[in-house]
Amino acid sequence: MSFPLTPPPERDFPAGRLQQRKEQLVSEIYATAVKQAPRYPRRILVSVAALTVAGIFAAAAYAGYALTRPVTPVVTIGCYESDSLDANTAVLAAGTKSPVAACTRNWASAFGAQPPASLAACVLPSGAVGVFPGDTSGDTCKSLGLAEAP
Amino acid sequence: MVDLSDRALWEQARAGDGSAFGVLFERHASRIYNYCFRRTGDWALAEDLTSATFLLAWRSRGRAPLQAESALPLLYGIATNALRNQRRSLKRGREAFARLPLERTEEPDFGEDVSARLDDQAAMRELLRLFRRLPRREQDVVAICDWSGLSYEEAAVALDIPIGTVRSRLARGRRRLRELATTSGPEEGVDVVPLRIEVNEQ
Repeated sequence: MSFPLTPPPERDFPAGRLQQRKEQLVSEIYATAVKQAPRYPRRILVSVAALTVAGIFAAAAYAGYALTRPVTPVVTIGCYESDSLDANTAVLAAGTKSPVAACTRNWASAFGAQPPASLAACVLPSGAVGVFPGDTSGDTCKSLGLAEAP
Repeated sequence: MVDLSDRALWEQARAGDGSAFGVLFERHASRIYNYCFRRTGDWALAEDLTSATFLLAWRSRGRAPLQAESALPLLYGIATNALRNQRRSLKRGREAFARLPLERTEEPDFGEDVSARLDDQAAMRELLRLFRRLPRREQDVVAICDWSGLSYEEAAVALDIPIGTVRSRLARGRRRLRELATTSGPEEGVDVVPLRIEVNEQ
């Protein structure tokens, strides 16, 4: 009996099995690709959704604060020529208990016109008081995104 | 696509083309299948290990650019690792393929040579009984160079070692194998005949 150190001859991978194994491999490759594909975008979508929700909460909290915040001690009053934060403004030294009356008194010298029939005092983002042409129902301040000054 | 070189197919596979990888499988599966058989002495196990090798190759394609024109050295390297970590590789391969039932088909060609394959298994296991007494690193080099016909350069790529190391391990492995064959036969009381392995000391 011989004891060869060479292995038996090579044999072909059985043809049918080869095809089956190939199909199995390719299917697994595509299945993995499909499984992996949404992983990245889903993570992004979750992050975007979380940031959006956080943003909405922050905006709501800020709006609530802006519409209700109290007047902080200030040294000036702004008299606005029209109901816009970009309008011409006459800045008066604070020290009066009635910003509306102060603006009415100084309106003609500041803007060269008669003061409007009614003015509304609002709390500016800085915490100072801003006086705008408008009614005293509070709608003027609200339309500007400001709280009504007490 | 079948006319494309291994390198071109590998690049397509790296870009995510599964069918290009399928062509590589068809092209080289038999070589890897025979290599796995010669390392295990089991045709069925060799088939599973071949699938596991290609699955591992697919998963590592992004990390492994082809260093040679042929994908074979890389595949032999992956197969060698799969053989070394056989249990884990097969577990992964079987987990991956478990979703896709592999039906046993009628294989006329397989049926005809089934007894020859059984003989192969018996002969190979006898040889492996001796072969496995070599250090693992020498087994790898002898199996890749002498049993699979890869060049020193290809073996160096497959095993990620310098060519000089391939040469020295091969020479040591061959010498040890000859010594083992002359001191231990396959069965008690059976004479050992001269080796048929071609010794090519370089």
